[in-house]
Amino acid sequence: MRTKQTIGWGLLLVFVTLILAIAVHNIPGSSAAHRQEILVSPSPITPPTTVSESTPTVTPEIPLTEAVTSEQIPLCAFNVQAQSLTSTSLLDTYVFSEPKVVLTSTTAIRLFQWLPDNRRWLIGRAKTEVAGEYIETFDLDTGEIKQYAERHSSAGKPIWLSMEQAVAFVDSIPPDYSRMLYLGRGEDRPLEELARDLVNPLLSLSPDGQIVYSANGRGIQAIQVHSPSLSRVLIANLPGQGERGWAYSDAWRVDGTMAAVYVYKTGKFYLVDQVIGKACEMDLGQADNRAQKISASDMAWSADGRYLALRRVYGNPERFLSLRIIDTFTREFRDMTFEERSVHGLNWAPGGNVLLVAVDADPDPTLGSFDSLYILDATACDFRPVLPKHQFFGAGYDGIFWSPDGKSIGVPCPDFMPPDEMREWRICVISVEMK
Amino acid sequence: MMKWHRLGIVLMAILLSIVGGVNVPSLISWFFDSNTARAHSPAQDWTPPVTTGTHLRMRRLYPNGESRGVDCTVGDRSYGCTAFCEDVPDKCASPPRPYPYSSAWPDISFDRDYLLDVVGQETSPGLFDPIALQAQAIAARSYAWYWINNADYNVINNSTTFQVFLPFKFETFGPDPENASDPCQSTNLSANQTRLCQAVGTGGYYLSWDDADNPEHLPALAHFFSDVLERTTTNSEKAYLVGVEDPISNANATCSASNSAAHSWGMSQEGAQRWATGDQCGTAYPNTDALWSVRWTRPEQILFHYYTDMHIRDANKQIVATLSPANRWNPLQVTGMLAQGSPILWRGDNFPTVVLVQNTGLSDWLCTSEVLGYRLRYRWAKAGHTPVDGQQSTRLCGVAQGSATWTAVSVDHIPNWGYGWYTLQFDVIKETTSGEERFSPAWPTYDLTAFVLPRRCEAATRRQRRVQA
Repeated sequence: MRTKQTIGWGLLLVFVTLILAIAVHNIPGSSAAHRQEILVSPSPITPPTTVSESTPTVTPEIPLTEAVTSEQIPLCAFNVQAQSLTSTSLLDTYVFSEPKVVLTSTTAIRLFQWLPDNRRWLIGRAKTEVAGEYIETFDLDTGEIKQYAERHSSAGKPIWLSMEQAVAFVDSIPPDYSRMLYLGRGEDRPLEELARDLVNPLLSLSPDGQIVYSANGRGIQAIQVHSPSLSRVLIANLPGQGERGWAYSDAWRVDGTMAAVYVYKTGKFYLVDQVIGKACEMDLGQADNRAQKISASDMAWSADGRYLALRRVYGNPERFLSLRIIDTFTREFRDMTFEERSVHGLNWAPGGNVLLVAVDADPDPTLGSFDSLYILDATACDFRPVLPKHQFFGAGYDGIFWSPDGKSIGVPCPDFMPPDEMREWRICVISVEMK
Repeated sequence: MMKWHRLGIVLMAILLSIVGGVNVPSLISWFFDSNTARAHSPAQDWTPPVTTGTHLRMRRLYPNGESRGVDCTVGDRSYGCTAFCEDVPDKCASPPRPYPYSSAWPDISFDRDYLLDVVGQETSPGLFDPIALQAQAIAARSYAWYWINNADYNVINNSTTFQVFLPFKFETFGPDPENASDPCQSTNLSANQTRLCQAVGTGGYYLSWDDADNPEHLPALAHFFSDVLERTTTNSEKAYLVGVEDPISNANATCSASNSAAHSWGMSQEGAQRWATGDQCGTAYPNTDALWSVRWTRPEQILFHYYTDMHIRDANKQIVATLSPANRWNPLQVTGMLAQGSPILWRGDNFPTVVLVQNTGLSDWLCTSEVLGYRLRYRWAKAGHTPVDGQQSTRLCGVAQGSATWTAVSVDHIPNWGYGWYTLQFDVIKETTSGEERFSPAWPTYDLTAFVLPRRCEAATRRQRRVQA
């Protein structure tokens, strides 16, 4: 009884601390300098972890332009998760319908996002004969396609801003191909420039939908959609972060408290805790006897902020090593492989712990990029095929998404004839029911 | 009805050719052949092509190198259309540079464009030994030509379905060549670009299987892959893709080989690098990590090891006699004192040596009433002295093409040529009823050097005399 009381008080204390930390963190101006720190040791949303006294931290006095050495950032104290197979799995309760084609195109289409209204998709449709694409929404109920922007490039995935009913995207324009961040509202309204000189075309969005996270040469910046001039740098100084080219990628937990950052130049992967202002490095290992660096690709947080999934890949063209699922609550991780097959894409179910993955249907690369879909329970070493008789060309790379209500899956399902004949681009919907 | 369809397609193809430079013959062939058999028979009166002609289709690629099913277009900066792409992190050189050709069907030189990029993509010139690069170039050329002869509609693309070709890959290794039309004639190349040029500029050599069913000397399906452990595998559809022992690709503690590739037919790229460096880790000679007892110094040793019953032919389809004799062999492993990098041998001592010998020639080593057998023999050589034959192994019989067998030979009777470096020239001898036939010089001997010291007792006696004096 006493133990329970202690735990209860402890939890309360932790909760109050957390609230205070977030409050201080959100006071305008008070935490701006703090946000520029670098940062250590990941912590789950609840409870926050205790950071060792000996853990080196970077003080706010370090200017943004000053590099931090790898030695100053400790390794994350994460353990390999034991393989635990549960006798009964929630995955058995999922029932999937046959895929139904809902969108076709004579040019390449990609699925970027299933919009929060549960009714529309954000898609990219390639131009014909020239580079670039149209960024559009597709209404699943009415079939209406509405164009929001046109861009010269097809790099990076645009993101939808629900409050604005607009799309943020990166474009690079000849002759120098510098990357610009734009906001497109559609209906022939001119594009709004939000930022320039981005180092990669990756974007993410704050929970309130008002801040776009992107990367420039100084660090990860938070761009206020309504006041781009008030943008500020959130994470800087990670070793290699200031490199030219596609320097790093990042993924933010839904509440914005933690970011996963992969720096391409150094091959280092960091978990950055925004609340306590510290970071730690997670070892991704080495690929082969040439000690090639391993990249963290397609980093994605679960909806409840507990899990981070990523693909460990290396080489050019990329070779898949494992699907890593990191549990930031228990400080454990697990590497999953699918025999000889590669995982090409992933998307978390809105509920939290179920991950949809697209896996090579056949490891032979000469047979075309056909994927099989699986659902995977992050809490256990368990997965199930989704429609085992169906294969979807390019599904993993071109976008697989749960609907926001969790009752459908959107997946590219083009009519592709091996070895290399695309007959028609299509996107399908698979209905999902729970037994 | 069908006739009207065909007429429409032809008109459309002509229109596309006028507007967008689309390849008409391929398009017409594409449409009209769709209801007929898809696999074409290899061309008769085949001539090694200089350019890709109408046979290469450029596609945007997924990050794993597979085709997206989308053609590269003017201004394209997608992965697959240019090495200076902008859509795949860590795989795109910067700054972006658009697709260099005017259509998705470029007619480009194999040796001055296509292969420079392909070899650079498949084997990084900064890491791979020049010998392994040369082997890769010959294999890649054969592979492309094979598929042009055999693919559906005689069309290859730039994806992993065939071999990955990223335009401008060559330019990622150094400056833009000042001679754009013939990059290897430029004087401003980097060291890595020069290595690529040396690898590709080998006279249009290609692999052709030596069989009665190949009178046209067609190129072979020279499959290659990244790595394999211990042994490649047999592809039952091609007699020349025989699984072979690859003992240098082993599971050592320092840098274990791995079965990471989708298939293991033909040449192992990491294996080729290991043989070229004589190192189990493939570390550039002489900075070895895990020295192997054998190192090969010629690309044909690598090629004939991984591809069985093969000839190297030139751009005129002629056998390259200096590289491609009928009788060949490779040492795969040497045990005993000679397995060490720079062995020290004492004259008068006996050094038992066992060699794993592979038959890489054009026939099985069969013993018949006329052929008595094959033996491994060595010869002592040193500058300024007439070579002296050494011991030989027992007869080797029944060693099939591509197979390997262990055979013992005693290294002794070291000639008295004083202190210093001696060369042991290993050769295979074919014994027949009419005499013996050495594989060398057509197929060079495998040479090992050893430092020879006088007899142990002689040295001791001399030391004793010095002490007494």
